[in-house]
Amino acid sequence: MDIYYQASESYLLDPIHTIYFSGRTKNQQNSWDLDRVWLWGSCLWVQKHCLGEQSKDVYNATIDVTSDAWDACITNNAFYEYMTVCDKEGLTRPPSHLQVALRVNLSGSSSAPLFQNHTNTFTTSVLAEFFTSNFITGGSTAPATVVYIAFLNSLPDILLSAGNIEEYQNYGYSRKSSLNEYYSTIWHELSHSSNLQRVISEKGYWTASDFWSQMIGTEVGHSVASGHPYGAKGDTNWQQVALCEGWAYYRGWQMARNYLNYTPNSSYESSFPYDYQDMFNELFIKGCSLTNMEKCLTVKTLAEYKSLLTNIYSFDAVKVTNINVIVNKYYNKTY
Amino acid sequence: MKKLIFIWSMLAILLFTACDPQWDVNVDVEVNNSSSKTILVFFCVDPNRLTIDTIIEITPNTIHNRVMSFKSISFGNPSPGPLEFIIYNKLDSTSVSLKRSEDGLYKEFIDETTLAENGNIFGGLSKADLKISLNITDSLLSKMSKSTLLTDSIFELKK
Repeated sequence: MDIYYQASESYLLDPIHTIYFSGRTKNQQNSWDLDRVWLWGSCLWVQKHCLGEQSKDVYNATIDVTSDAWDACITNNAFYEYMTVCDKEGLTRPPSHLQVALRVNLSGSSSAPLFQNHTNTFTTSVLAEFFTSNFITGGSTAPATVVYIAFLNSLPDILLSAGNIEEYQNYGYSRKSSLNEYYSTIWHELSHSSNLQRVISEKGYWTASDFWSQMIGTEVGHSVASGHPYGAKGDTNWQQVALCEGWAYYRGWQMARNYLNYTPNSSYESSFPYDYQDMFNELFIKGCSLTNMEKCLTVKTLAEYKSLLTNIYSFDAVKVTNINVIVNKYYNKTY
Repeated sequence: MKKLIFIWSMLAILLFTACDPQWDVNVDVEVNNSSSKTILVFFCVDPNRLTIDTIIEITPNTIHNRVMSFKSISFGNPSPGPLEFIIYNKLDSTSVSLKRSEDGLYKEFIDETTLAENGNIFGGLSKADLKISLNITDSLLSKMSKSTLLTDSIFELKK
């Protein structure tokens, strides 16, 4: 792809060009900024893609596939496609603005803490302790509060490892398959963000904050304890993990299948909570719409979810029976 | 030093939030042939990858350790990814196929053991060692049938 631009003003000195990766949908409802971080976790360490100093007369810059700017372009495209698919399939778009931390040149995990779009009662309480400690203030609370608020405002909604595109190729994947896995991962995380937005729409901001904080708290607890954020079936709050992660895996799978003609590896898994993607798939096959399945994802237990979904289809006895059979089967599934 | 550890601990908490880790997985495959037949096993790793496949002859009443090793990468939980095994009896040209997936046929004959795990608290690749055991029993061999198309394409041409 070639991009040309011409400036109406002339430069006295040689300019420095910097690319900022910001996206916006056509109808301006959603936007996102990709902040490129070297250190996981916080957008305090922001790096844009600087092309360096160029001639003021003419300059050609090439961004090839090995550039981390290329990865940012791919990420940007995946976000745009996601918004388009949400509209097409009747699903909720994510919150109107997303702050995205893009980990360049490094492989690793992805997550959707959604810091800027809910009040994370779990993490903020821990961080508040940190920022009012003597380490920052030397004993004074007020400056710490300012720094703390600035810090909170810098935290990302979505964290992605663009280095995974290269990493997958080290494991024998073609570049196309690597890109497809990366796309599927982005859509998984964006499905989490849409889930939060749906809870906000259905039940209000504070209920949604509690909903997502509990989800985060559960996965953080499992991570610290065992390195496995999802935990196991039967653990505290396992049903919310099953619903939220199952849905995100389902969407990452179905979008990859429908729009990339690709089946991501996670769709083959049968352990907890992967198998709950199959629950949503079975519900869809039995006639539950994506819109209605997502609309009911505002609760933390399978019984509540089943109740909401059967209420929507209460006019259809066969469908109600199918919903009960499917959800009960996955509730009772043993490993 | 304690303050530094504290900062990193806080960052680690941020990393973990709603985290979907990426795993670097070393996979060893063993075959436990408790039947009295010598069979060939065709291994195929992960249809999304450049094909990694091999054919190994398995003698009867023997545990064959590490008949195959490979690296895998997985999203969420440590996983070897999709696997397919095809067991073939040269004497009567019968075969049976097993798949490691949610709806995989005869997946009950495939066991998985986690040997070691090392979660990466700073968002990088977590590491795990897994062992996949293929248990060949008389019960499994009783499910073998002739599929000339399959055996010709895999066991005849690849010999």
